[in-house]
Amino acid sequence: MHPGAWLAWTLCASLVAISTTNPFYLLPLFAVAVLVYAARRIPGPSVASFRMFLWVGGIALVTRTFLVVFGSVSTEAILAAVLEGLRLAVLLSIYGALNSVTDPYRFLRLAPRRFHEPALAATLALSIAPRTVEAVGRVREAQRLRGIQISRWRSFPALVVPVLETGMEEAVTLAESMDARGHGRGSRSRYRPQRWSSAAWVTVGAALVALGIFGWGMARSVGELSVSTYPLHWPSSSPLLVVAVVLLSVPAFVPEKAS
Amino acid sequence: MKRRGLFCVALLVGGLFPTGFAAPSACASEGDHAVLVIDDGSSDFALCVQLNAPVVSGLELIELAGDQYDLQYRFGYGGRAVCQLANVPTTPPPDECFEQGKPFWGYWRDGDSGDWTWSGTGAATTEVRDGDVEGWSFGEGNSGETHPPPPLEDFDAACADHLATEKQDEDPPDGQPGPDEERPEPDPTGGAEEGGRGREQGDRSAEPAHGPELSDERRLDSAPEPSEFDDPLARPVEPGDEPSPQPSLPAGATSADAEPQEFPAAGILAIVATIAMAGVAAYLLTKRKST
Repeated sequence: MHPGAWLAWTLCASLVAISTTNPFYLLPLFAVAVLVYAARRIPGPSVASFRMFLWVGGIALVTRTFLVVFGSVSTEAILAAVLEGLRLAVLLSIYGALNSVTDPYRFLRLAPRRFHEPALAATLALSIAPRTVEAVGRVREAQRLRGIQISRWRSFPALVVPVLETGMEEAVTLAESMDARGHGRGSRSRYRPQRWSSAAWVTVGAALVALGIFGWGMARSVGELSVSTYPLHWPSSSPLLVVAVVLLSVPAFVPEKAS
Repeated sequence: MKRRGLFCVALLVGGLFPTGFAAPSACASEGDHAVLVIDDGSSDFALCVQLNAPVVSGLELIELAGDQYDLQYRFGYGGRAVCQLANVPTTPPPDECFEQGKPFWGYWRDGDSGDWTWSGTGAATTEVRDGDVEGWSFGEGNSGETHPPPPLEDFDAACADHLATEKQDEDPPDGQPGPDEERPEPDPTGGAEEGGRGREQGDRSAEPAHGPELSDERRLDSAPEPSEFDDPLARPVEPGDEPSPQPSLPAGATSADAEPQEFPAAGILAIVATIAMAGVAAYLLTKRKST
């Protein structure tokens, strides 16, 4: 599917995630991210990359919850921190899904010529997660071949240097090869243009509707978007907003089209 | 004394279930009370709140009133500010609820000393002690001069019921059940289906009065003038009901009248949707092998 559609989907889903700390919206949204990943992931380092985003999200949640000890510690304060951490984790999972369903270099082709270099930088930045994961895999394999057998966690320092080095080298190599293939500033190829398929329309439409519903909910204070844990209570939620979150799972169900 | 202690424990345990028990006020350490005056712009009322410690904060006083009277409240800004009180404003506000131009709950102190003092500090850090009168008024105006104050309240008038009742509790000789044990629990009419109303009745009847004669006496002695208590929503007395004391909480101010306490339907929908989507994802992940 056209990467522009994925970008629009990510933007809408992220804004929905940022707008609320209500677990009855955040939990389905997390499931949406996982479902979209499962249904539309592309071959490559997607699996490991998505898992890494989930890990980072989990660490963000735990860290945010731990920060409560710096203030007054109470059940209400802990739950408030957990909800904020959950929002962060869901945001990361959405971004992880984006990373696993798109090829970052296809994003590059969306950029107008004037913004090619910053777009190139952005693409390399976007792709750093899957590329790092790939590098880790390769370095690990090389270590095993050389008979270096250390347990997973203790081998971390021995892993860092080669991965960083590899990353640097790769960036330079990548830039050179892309330049050689004509992704440089000078030329723009019309070969295999990306088509905006009906799947893309449906995805963007559903995402915009979902965002619109949440925007309306925010304006009208509907459905307890920001949940206060003082006092503890089940957040009174709006079923319409839950449906809006489920709408964001549409890209997982539209038939894939080769483009 | 032992029987009373056991009954106290039973009441406290019973108080954990949402059955309308107002148990804690009968069993916590006696003596310390403070008055909480609330004026939401159209009606006002005063509550005599029993303190569970010699010093509590202004916010803790509201929490205690929530325990003892089922007063509805919602704090924001990480539990440091009052965003919603007695279901005003009616829609639950966001966590950051102060906005220029919108009315808010102003905090007043020392209502027993002749005039209210606009509090310079937030209610999370103030100290409320036995005999204090605290006030909250919903309106616009960022200072004591511009924000409308609540009606002044006399501590002794508001807490007369409570103080007299506790004195009663200490009097009965051993072997004879105290007034609160003898009092038959008045059944909230209509039961749970009546929702907030029924529960509120149970609360109000269970609250300070401990016997028909006592409540009559208390009412005559210490009933505040009608001008102080504005209760346009007082319910009609039903036949067979024991005469209840002056209602201290207008209908609509309890948390039972706000959003329902049980698990929301949207929550069930959300859980079902989450499980369904996770299930489909799991199926897709195990079915396909990434090439």
